[in-house]
Amino acid sequence: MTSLRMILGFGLALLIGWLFLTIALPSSNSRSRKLWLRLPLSLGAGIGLTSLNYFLLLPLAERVPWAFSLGEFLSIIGMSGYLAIRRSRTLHAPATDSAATKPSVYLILAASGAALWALFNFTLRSLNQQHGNWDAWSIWNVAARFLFRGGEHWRNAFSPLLFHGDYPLLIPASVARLWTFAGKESLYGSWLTALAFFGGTILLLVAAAWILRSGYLALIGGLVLISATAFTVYGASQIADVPTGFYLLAAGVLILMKDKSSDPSNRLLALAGFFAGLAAWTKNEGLLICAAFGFTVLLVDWFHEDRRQGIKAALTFASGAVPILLIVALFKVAYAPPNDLLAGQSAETLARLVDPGSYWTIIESFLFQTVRLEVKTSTPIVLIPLYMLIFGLRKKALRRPGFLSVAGALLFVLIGYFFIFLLTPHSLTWHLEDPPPRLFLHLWPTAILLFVLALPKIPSEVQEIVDMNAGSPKPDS
Amino acid sequence: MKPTRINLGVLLIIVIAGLSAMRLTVWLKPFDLLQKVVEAGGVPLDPLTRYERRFDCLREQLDPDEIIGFAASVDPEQYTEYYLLTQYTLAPVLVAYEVGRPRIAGFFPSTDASEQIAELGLEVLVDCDTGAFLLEPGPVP
Repeated sequence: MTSLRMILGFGLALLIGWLFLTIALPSSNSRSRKLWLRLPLSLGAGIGLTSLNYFLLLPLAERVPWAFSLGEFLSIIGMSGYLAIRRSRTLHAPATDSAATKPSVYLILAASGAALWALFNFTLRSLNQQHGNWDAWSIWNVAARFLFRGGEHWRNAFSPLLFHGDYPLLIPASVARLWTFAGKESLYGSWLTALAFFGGTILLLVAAAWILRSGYLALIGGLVLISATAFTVYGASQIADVPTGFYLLAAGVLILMKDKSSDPSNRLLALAGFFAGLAAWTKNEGLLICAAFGFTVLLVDWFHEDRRQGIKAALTFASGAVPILLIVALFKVAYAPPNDLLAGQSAETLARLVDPGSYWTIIESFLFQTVRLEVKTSTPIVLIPLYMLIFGLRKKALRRPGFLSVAGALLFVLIGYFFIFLLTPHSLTWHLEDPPPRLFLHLWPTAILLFVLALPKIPSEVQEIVDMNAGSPKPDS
Repeated sequence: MKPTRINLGVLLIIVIAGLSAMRLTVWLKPFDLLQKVVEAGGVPLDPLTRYERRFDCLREQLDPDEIIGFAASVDPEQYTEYYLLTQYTLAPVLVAYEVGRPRIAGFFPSTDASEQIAELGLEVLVDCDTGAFLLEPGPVP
């Protein structure tokens, strides 16, 4: 019964996300493809929106325990009512590179098998660490417990006595919300949330690559994603890094789709800002992600079109991000204790800016991460250039504004991470021990999407398009 | 580009994905888990859950308004882990990383717990019979 009620809570989050996206993005002509893209986006949006609702209504919930449900119920009624009365719009479906191409049956079997195996490994990891890894129970799940158990003492969740009490609340609030639905705590709450983002990332990457390129390359992208064992290990560990990677990917997908869309209203760009904002609600690094996307969107449109277009694009992006960032700011100002990295700044940390040894230590650590093969920490970025050597590169793709914006954002985020380590008040060696694989996981899914987009047209893909157009069935190659 | 090269590239991706999945499965030790499931007659209790249950008798005694201290007789390298676990267990009560509080959550799993507690200048308020205690500072000599 507990699990059923939590699944119901989950379903409500998905519904809220779906309604929100339906308002923000008209549905597509190519329904089946869009369904598989809208499903993970709706899940991400719904989890984000319901966690925000939970946080904002905590003060009211001290006196009115059903305040959260009321807030969600009203939002469903409001959005449904709006959709019922608005005129139906003509859609502006993004032009796709191909018709609905069908990959070979062998590739479908391989990809399906890999996905099932990844789910099996996810389950094994979850059973081995039922409360998640160290960070999960000491930071994220403990915060969820404070929010759920606390009653009028929910503010204890932000005590300076706690380990990283300043961390944003998307994960803890989502888990606490599911417990509230169930009426009791359960490990299923954390598992479901972790599974949603793990599966959602895979589905989002494959669906986006399918729409932007082809089914063939989409499944290849999915296989490369799952090759990083750290993705499954940390995905099941109930921490916030895979969710952060999900929101970064979502923002990137929408910016890339904007490139191919004929929609003049720039809804896609505003929605990208919304998902980048949710990254900031997930982890502090999300603030950097938000800023990186905003900056690259401004720059790329500035140079690609003109200054006015650049500023307009950045403002449109900001229009989606700012509402979320205001809530993040409220949390930081009204509740969160000081961040340890900011509070620990001193002349000593600033001195590292002119210490070449520190630069080299961090570069070495990042380079090592690209080739690392330990099961727990592997994000084999070095494979991407190897695949490029085999398949080649489509230089035309690299010049598209969307590609440049997203690639530029990834680069700025990486540079930002570099400076976070450079200016850490902690011992640099200690600080570089654990975080790099998790930080690279933020970038991994989006990097794979860019890799897929940069691949040249390959014969199997082209032949499928020709055969689809000719209407003749093709024997699998 | 030759189809052979493409096919080899795709095969390489599939093989690497398969090898990664296999390595991860081996690392996760599924047979050890299966053995635990068989022994437990179901999904085995997680070590964190077992630790939490030690403190069940203390929950009713604690007030979310107070901040309690922490003391434990464990390896120094594991002290912080046990402190964080205790905080995780006793939320929403705040647990400070120090002994100097009016009440202290204690974890003393060994048989000579009483001596260890006394050595720290503490007295037992509640003994859960599980190694978990609620303590208070003893009288100043």
